[in-house]
Amino acid sequence: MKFSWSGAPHVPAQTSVAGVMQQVLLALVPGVMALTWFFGIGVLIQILLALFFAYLFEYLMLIWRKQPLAKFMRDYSAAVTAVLFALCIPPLAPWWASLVGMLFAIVIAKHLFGGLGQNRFNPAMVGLAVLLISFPLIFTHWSPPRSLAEIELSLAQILAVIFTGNPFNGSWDAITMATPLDTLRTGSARGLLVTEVRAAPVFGDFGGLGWEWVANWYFLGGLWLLYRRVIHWRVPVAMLTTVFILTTPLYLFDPDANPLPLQHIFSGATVLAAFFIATDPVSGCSTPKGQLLFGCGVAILLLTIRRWGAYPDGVAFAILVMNMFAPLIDRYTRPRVFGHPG
Amino acid sequence: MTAGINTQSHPPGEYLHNFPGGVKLRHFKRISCHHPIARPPMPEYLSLPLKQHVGDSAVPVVEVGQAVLKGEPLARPGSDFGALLHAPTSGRITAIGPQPVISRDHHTGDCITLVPDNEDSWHPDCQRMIPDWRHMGPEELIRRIADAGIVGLGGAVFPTHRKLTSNFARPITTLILNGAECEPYISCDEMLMRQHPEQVLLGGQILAHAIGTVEHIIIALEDQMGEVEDDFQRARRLIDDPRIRICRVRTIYPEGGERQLIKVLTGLEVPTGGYPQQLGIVCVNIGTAWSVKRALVDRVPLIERVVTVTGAVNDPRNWLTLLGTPVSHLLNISGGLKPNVTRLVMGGPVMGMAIRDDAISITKGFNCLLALQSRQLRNPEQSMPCINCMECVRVCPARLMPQMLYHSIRNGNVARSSDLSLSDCIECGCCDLVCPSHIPLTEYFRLGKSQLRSSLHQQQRALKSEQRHQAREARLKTEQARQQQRRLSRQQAADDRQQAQQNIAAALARVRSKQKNQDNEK
Repeated sequence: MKFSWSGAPHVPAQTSVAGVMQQVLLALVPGVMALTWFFGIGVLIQILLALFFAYLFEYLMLIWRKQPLAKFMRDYSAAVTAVLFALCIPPLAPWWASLVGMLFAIVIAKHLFGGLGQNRFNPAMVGLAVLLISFPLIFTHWSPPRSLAEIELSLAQILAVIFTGNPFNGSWDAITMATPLDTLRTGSARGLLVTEVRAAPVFGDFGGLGWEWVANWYFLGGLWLLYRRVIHWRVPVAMLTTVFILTTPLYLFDPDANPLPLQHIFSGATVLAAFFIATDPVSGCSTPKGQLLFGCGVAILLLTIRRWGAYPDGVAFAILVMNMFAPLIDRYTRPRVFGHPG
Repeated sequence: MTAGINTQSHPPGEYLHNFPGGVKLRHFKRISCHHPIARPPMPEYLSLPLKQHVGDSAVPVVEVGQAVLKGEPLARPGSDFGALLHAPTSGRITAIGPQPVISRDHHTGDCITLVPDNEDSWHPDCQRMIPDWRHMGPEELIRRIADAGIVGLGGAVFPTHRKLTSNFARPITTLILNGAECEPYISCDEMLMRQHPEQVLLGGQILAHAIGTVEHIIIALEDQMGEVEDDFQRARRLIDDPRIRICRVRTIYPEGGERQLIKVLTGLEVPTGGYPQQLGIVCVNIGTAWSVKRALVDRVPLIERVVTVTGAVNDPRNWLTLLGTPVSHLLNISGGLKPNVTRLVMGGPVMGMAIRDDAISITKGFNCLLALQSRQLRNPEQSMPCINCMECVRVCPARLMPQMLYHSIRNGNVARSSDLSLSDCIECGCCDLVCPSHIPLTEYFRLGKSQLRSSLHQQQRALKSEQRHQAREARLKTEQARQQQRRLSRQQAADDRQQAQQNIAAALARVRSKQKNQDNEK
């Protein structure tokens, strides 16, 4: 009797790319729910818009590149890109923000570089950076947290704002509010002390009101990913520890000019970045030491941009810059091979 | 070697270390442990490949048609590096020629076919009394181990007698008996240890005596083999040898690998390209130790071994099988195959070698016959692009960067593969087992190693032809110089001759003119 032949191992791996991506999406659920609770249903609409455009472009690019559709349309990687992008844009951003963002994320950052696994830069952050640079105005229109909102918008009104691009009664001020990081930035530019700025209602116990709770839920999702071994501990630990280590002495030295270390962690997209964006395997480092350096680098750039840069939050730029260094870092941080002298 | 990686502070086995990487696997050992080890009925024929060991093929010393007795040598080692082959039973040699064998590239190899006469009568050499092994010197013991044709039965099939002598300055002080068969399904070593712990320990003592300088005999068991440890402790109390230590190691694949096990027990890393003997260590499989005991106490050369028949067969179990028994025979007596079996494997599901044909036979390194159903097999068409997830880096026991190697091999970049230490890959398959993209990484590494070999070959050829060219240039140059020299000396000689003739002519002229002058004067 004859039998089939193939090289060892004969049994398959128990994980799959789609499985990894699904778990990342699942881990985002608590954070998405919290974000929706505090900032309205617009968050979900942005996610749906981003998903729509992401899959549209994914489909077109796969056909153009003559790639097997069944295999790549089901890997959930476009979904992860879309959701991470949507979570970083304001809930009332116009519909074409997703179009532009996903065009750059899926078409340029992903497929023109060779598709899944070949992208040098994190696609979601490329899309976000393009919007930040080209349409900065969008990012000034953040919804206020639920408890501070003057008017509660209905679903129809939110849709109208997103699809017409106009605030329904002619004024953005009534329905948007500066984010805590923005407030801090303009406050210190005006010469106010951090303690004075923090008296503003947008601030909570550590970070922004609502934001800190969202960060907590992202944190929870991140811990689950760590437990499931979907991500490795080095990037988030290195990144959050570096933020803490760098900001603590500054705060202790001059609490009037420097915000609480925890505020840096619990505002903006720090936690989201630490667990979900900087841990993107494709564009990150792949040696154990390299991952530590990558996390540190993201944290340092993030703080630098927040303190001296022109943008209130620097997650997208910090990660893109570190993406550039990842191959170099990998090259110089290879571990010692077993049995080789140290 | 730097002091950093290889400094030993504890006696081996007292403190357990960790090796890098590794994977926890689901084990299916229990399914083949329900029956004690038994002898299968005699098959219709035995087919004995001449190459069942590392080294050169054995050379037959029998002829077709010759009657042989059980234990009679059939083939001698082809060179200094090889092993003897004995008749597993009495019978008649019916053929010597190509038969299907297990191999990656060749489908057939030379085999001796033996048809048993069912008398099972022993060769007189195997019944002659031999002195107690305790009274033999190391040389005699090692010679007898070689005469019994014993090779590593864990699958490496390295001639055992070659392991026992060391060319290194450091004496061998530690003997490890490896009972950590870390692949799922395989249970032949575990069953042997359960049934004959005292014989295995005795084999260890004989090996230690043959080495001569052993201070520690370590039995390595997996922590899931609870009862086995009790059996060993009992046997150890009986034998009462203070050198013996029984160590339970974590059940984590590939802990049973020689280098990994040495790292766990001693904290030492066998240097790349080196041997455990360099560190004063010899590591031997449990089954090998048992065969040594059988050879030196029971006078039975290596003619049979324990084989686990398991997986998708109806009655999985362990058989004490004669070498040369066809796989089909073993499958039949193990209840036959379940439906949809499309793959037979020699060894475990992770490192085992696929068998193309069930006509092949049991060899010295054949520890397990595993039948897998099509749904259990991996499908190479499902593989996705690498997403650099680092799981392979986490589990690699050689601390390599498998995903980087994969890219360099795909690009045919041999220099980079070699820079990434491809040759240190032990092909354990851990990276395959965790790859979410289902990339056949280990197959790529085998391909990469052949790329390395052919590039090395080319380099050597290039180097050789360059040397030849340089030698030719040098030869031509010396030849030229010599010719020049010869021409010069010939010229010189000619000149000298001419000078001499001129001198003679001048002298004659002088004489003539003198005579003329004298004549004139007269």
